[in-house]
Amino acid sequence: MTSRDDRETRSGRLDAMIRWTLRESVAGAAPPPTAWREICERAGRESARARGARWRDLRLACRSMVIWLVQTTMGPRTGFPYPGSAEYVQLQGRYGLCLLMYQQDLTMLLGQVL
Amino acid sequence: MMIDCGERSATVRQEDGRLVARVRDGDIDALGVLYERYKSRVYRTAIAITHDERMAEDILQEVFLRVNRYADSFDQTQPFEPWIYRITVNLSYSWTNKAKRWVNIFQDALERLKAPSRRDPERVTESREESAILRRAIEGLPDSHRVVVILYYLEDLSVSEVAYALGVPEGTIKSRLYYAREKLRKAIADQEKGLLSEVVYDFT
Repeated sequence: MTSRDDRETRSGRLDAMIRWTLRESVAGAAPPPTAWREICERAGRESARARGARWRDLRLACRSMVIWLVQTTMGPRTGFPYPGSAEYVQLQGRYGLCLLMYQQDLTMLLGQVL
Repeated sequence: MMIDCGERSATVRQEDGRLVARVRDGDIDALGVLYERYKSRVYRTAIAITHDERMAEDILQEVFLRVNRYADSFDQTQPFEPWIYRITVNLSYSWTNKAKRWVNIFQDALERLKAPSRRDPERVTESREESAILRRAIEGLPDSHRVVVILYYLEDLSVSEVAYALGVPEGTIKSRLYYAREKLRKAIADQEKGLLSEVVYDFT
C-alpha cells in the first residue's frame, strides 16, 4: 500500500467516523407530534393579523380618497382661501379632519392637519 | 448560479417549488407536505447545533412559520432544501447565542463542579472510544466550521448546497471542511497519544 493509498483510506475512515458520530448524537431525535398543530395555529393567527392589517390599509385608503373627493369638490377652489362657511368646517370634522386655524382677514389658510 | 444537489432528484426539486408556490397562495396543506418532508432534517440540524430539544422544537416551528411568511421571497430557480437549511442554521445560531449569554456563566461553574478528575477510570474508558473524542472535538470547532461539518456530514448536503445555505463561496466551504477534518484528525491523534502516556504512567 502506498502512502497515498494509506492517507486516502484514513481520510475515508475519518469521514465515516465523523458521519457516524454526528448521526449517533442525534439518533432517535424526532419532533413532537404536537409541533404541526402549533405551527397551524400560529400561522392562522399570523394570517388573521395580516388580513386585519390589509383591511386597515384599505379603510385608510378609502377614507383618504373620500376626503380628497370632498376637498376637491366642496373645498376651496384656488389656493387656500377661507371658505367662510360653518358647514364646510363641520363636514371636515365628520371625515376626521381637524381644523386648526383660519385667518379670516387674509384669504389664506394657516394650518390644517388630518 | 445553479446548485449541485447531488443525488436528489429533479422531480423532488420541482415538486418542492410547486409546494412553495402553493404556500405563497395561502395553502396550509402545501406547508404540511413540506413539513412532513423536512421536519426530521430541520429538527435534527437544530439539535446538532443547539443540543437542546426544547429549543430545537421552537426552531422547527419558527422555520416553517418563516417558510409560510417568506414564501414570496423564495427563488424558484434554486432548490428548496438549502433554503430551509439556511433558515434553520440562522435561527439555531441566533437563538443559541442569545441563550448562551445567560447560560454560560452557570454552566461553566456547574461543569467545574461535576467534572471528574483526569484520572477517573470511567473517563479513561470512555475516552477510548473514538466517537466520544470526535464528538468533543466537533464541539470544539469554531461555529462557522461546525455548521459546515453538520450540514455536510449529517445532512449530506453537497459543497455547493452548503455554500448556498450559509451564503458563502464554495471555496470557503472546502477550506473550512479541510480545516475541520485536520482538526478532528489531530484531536484523535492527540487523544490516542494522551491515553498511551496515561497507560504508561499507570504501569510505572
